[in-house]
Amino acid sequence: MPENGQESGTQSEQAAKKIGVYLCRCGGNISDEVDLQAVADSLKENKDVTVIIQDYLCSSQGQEKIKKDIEKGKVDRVVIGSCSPKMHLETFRGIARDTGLNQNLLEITNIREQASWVHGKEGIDSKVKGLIKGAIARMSSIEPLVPIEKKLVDRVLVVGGGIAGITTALELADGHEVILIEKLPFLGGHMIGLSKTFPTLDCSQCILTPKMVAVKNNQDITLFTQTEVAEVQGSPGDYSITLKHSPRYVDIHKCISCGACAKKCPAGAIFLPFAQAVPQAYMIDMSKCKQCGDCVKACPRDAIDLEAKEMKSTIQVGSVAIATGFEPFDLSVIEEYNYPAPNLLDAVEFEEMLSAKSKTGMRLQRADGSFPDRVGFVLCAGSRDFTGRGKKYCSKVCCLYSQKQAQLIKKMKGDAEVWIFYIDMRSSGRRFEEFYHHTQEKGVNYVRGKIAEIIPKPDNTLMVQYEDTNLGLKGREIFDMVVLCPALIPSPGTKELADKLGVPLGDDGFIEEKHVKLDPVSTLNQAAFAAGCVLGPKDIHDTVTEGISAAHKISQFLGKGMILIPPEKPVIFECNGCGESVKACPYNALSLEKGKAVLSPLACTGCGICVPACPIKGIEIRNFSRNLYKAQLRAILSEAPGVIVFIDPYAYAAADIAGVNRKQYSSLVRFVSVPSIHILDADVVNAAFEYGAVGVMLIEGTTDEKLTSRSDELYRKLKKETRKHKKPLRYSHIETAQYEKLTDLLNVFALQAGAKAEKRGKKEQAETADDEIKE
Amino acid sequence: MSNKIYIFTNLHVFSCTMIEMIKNAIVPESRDLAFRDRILKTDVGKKIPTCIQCGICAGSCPVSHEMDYTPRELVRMVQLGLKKEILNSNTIWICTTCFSCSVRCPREIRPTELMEILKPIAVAEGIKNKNSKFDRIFSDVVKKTGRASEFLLISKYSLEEPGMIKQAPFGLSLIFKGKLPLLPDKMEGTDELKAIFEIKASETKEKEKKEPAEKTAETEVEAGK
Amino acid sequence: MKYSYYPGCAQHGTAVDYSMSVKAVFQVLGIELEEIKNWNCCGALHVLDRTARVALSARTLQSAKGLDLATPCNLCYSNLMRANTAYEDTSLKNRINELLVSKYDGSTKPKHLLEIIVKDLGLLKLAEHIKRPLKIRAVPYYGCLLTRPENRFDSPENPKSLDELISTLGAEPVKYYYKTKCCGGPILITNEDLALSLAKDLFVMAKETGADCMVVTCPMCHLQLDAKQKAVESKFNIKIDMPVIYFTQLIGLAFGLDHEELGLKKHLVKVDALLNKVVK
Repeated sequence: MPENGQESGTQSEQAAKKIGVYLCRCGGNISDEVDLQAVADSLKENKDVTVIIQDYLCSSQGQEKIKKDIEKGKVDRVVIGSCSPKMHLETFRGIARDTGLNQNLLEITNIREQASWVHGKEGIDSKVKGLIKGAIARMSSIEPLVPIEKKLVDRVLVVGGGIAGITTALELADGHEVILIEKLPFLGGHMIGLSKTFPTLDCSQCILTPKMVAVKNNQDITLFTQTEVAEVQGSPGDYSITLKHSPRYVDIHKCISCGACAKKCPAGAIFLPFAQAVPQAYMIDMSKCKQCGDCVKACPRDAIDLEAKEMKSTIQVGSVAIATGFEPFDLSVIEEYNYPAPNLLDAVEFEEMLSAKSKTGMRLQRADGSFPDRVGFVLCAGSRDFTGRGKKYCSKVCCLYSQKQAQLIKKMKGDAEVWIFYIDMRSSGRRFEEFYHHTQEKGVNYVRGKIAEIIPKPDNTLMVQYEDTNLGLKGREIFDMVVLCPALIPSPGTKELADKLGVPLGDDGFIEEKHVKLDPVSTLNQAAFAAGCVLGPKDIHDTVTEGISAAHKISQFLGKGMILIPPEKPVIFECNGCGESVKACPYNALSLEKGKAVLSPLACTGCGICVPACPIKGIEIRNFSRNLYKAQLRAILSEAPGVIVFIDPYAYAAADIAGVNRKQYSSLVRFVSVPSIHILDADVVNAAFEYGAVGVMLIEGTTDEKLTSRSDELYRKLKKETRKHKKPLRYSHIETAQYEKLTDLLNVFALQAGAKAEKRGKKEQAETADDEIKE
Repeated sequence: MSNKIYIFTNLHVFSCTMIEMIKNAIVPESRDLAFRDRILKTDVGKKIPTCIQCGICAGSCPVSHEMDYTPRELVRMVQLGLKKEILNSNTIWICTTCFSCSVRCPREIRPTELMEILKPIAVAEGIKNKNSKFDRIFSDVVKKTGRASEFLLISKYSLEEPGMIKQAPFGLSLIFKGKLPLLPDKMEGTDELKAIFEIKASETKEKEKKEPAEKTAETEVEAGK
Repeated sequence: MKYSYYPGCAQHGTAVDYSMSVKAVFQVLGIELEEIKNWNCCGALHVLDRTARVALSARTLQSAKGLDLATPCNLCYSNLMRANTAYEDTSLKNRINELLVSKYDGSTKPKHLLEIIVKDLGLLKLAEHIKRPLKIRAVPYYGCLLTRPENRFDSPENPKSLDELISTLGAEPVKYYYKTKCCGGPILITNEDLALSLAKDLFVMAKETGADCMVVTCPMCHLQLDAKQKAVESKFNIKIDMPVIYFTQLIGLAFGLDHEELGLKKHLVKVDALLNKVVK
């Protein structure tokens, strides 16, 4: 009997949950702003909770502490107050896995990026207390779930046939099936348009051509040129992607590039892009073609089809590598440079003149065919510009390649005058300062000062005006040729492709890395990776490094064979067969079978749009139920009134970036994560108001039109159904990159909602006072 | 470019006697932090700390070759608070207010507007030159008549700048063409304009009263650091 | 079409020729310019105190009484635009409104006459009145303050509206890289040597194009380039002989108006050769 008694005692203890709350000081990053001891003290009354404050929870020491507590049975549910879950959730869930704790029973409350980094001390303690209490309330009733497994398709789509895509494809081909697509009619990207490469001055085509040929000859790689992604369907690990192939009018498999067609063409419309082009096949420029058909007759292989049309095909892949590279910034925007003009080139045009793609027989020449004896290079054209006219960032490679181009000119003609106009000569990196030194030795003239204006003269020379800032003197020079080194921007179509894959971009337009430093080629889509200049301007060395890294990450991803899908899916516990939820689901994940709604979990994205759609409230998303939200909201607002901001994962990432950039906003703001804002209905929003929210915002970041197209309707409905509270409700769409817009919005809304609440408070006070007088 | 200054970075290595010996060096005493902060607090000044010294402003400026300090140097000097050098330079008076620098600056600094801010400060500090004379006469004429009558302006200015007599034939040629009416154009009732011009005077006085106190406080803070 | 009209001080003095041509041309176009009552100087570049300078323009803008405010002068236009921008600062706005007899709410739109013709009226409408297409080559010179610093109606570096206007009139706008370079006008009185050298640069570049005349939009530019042209010639010992005409005078010529009515006789640089070409 005593044994039984003991056992039942243990059982009752288990029923009373043992939630471990671990608060991280983060070496002062959190504890300098938040009084963690006060937060811990505020939890004293809760008997279910043990609080531990520790420095660097993510360190092995910190992790060990949590692990031991779980293993000793001191703790069976874990709430961590630390940095963003996007940073360390996986780290901490590793502990859960090691100790056999279900991973849902460990959650992170973000008190760094979304608290200590973005508020002053004012109001921050009560915010953090509320957030932690909310997390505890949530953790008390969360259920342990097992992730769903899905089989991966072991095939990769690599988008972009430059050096980044080529490297990724070749590295992957040893073990995985690869489809490589390129928008242009040939492989090689910008690199095939380079002459020599810095700092070694080896010839670009000499090192690239073997790789292009290797791509063509590799059995595991299927190459499509003139091809783009038209549509993406399916989900990470199992995509069905529609490709769009533009017509070349020449069958690349039949063409032997004999050139018989070109000899016959009266319009010069059929040509080989350049001698080393891969694929080795002719192509037709339809803007020149007269449709005479002479080439068709001339071709000995019957390879030409003037009637060819755009085609579409569909492929199944598990993963996508984005390697779409860069393009030069449109310099005509900088009007005082008067680009384009004869002998006023951008650096890409200059480079191509000396490359495999040269149209001048690799001769450096001016518009009239003469050699330029005086050449000026202008760095930072359109870069380092915060006016909105150019790009804010430094394009990184210009300092080096302009010096390389300068060296090439000096090599061609020793007494040619070469001037480089720079603001800061940035040659950090192995062998680069030596390269700078070497260029100086060649007698290149460096001027510290950016050219202010370029005036083309009637004789096709160019007059430039600048300040030599080392001397504080204005200068004027005449050059035979001026080369502008443009900002490098993501190539066109990057945004469209990223949107289709649900990959966020930074505000500079480049792909946002999963982690800037620690996970630099992964994206927020676990099946999409990126390499090369689509992640920001960089040189060939770094591009190749990223190509290899991306291949490794993809290989690792596909190697698992399975992908774990989050288990937070709808449960249908009551159904009258009305079909509303089936109609509402944009992903066809619900269907009616025998008069009841049935879920296919693999198609479901867990957005929650079915929840408010069900008229009898018979659907809830597991661990995101209405009751769970209500409990969490009540606890968050128990400390102090605040603004409740329901935020989806994409906008959550924007809030994190705001944190990393220390963009300050009102400490009234309390984020509540939702899988999508479409899970919300008036039930939850009204609860927020009842518990003391002074305002509610819905912030949506997804670019999935299936959801965003319904946001207005949702907002209007909620506005109507929560009107009785007379408190502000706002909806806004914030993409991941728009973190500045987000903080501006939060500030304005918090100010308005706060002021409104204050006004109301005064009114109520006055009313009570009135009542008292009356009494 | 006679009063160019030289920059020594390791200030602490100079002993007091050396500071006296090297007149044209930047030493803590040459920096007026209250002045600097006053400029940096304005709308134009806010962007000044982000200057990358690219020289676009000076390269764009049609007259920077005549300036003691180019606009770029002026921005740098504001960053350092070199009040005396700034206010005594001809730079702010040579500016033609064409805004070329301002629309091209990659950091949204508007040197033109910086000059506009500096001019009244220089005048308040007692700087006098041809330009400040003309500006004063111009304001007086507008205050009294509401309009800038060219003949009135030029004749008043000529009284103070006798060299203007050289321009007499030019003036005559305009008069001959009917382009320089001798009777000044006037508006009716200039009380409103007087108020407009006087707000400035009262504000300046207020500022002057406040400023010395502010200055000591800030210097102390800086020294404390 | 009707606008409130703020002529600015020069229209009653050195720019009397501009004033004549504006009157003549706008009458033909049927655009009413109602001069605001008792207007004041915009302060040009010489009222140093910012509050006073903004207040002067605010008073003028307030007088527009709900209509857009037309102005012929680049400098006035720039000051009016900047006053509106300054009025976005509420504390400055309140302070200035305390001084004004009638408060200004910041809503009047200032418009340069060129903007009215090119944007509001439209060049197609303008073309309907052309009687005498001009077979000449002209330098479109905008000056610095028409599109700077607030570039609301055209580019601050390479504006095109005057170019388009010139070609509508049948003339050829030459490629002129100094179209928004400073003429030196603002420093003419206090620093004549420098001012003349700036004008010289403009003339040299204009002569290179082989144009018949320079077209301007601002009284200050005109004073500098027309009245002071002789001074430039003698100071630098060069021959310029470049007629400088207001864009309204150019329009008037294309409309077939009499050159005296357009004030062309009041120029200091002779326009006879140009007129001969036009009449031909």
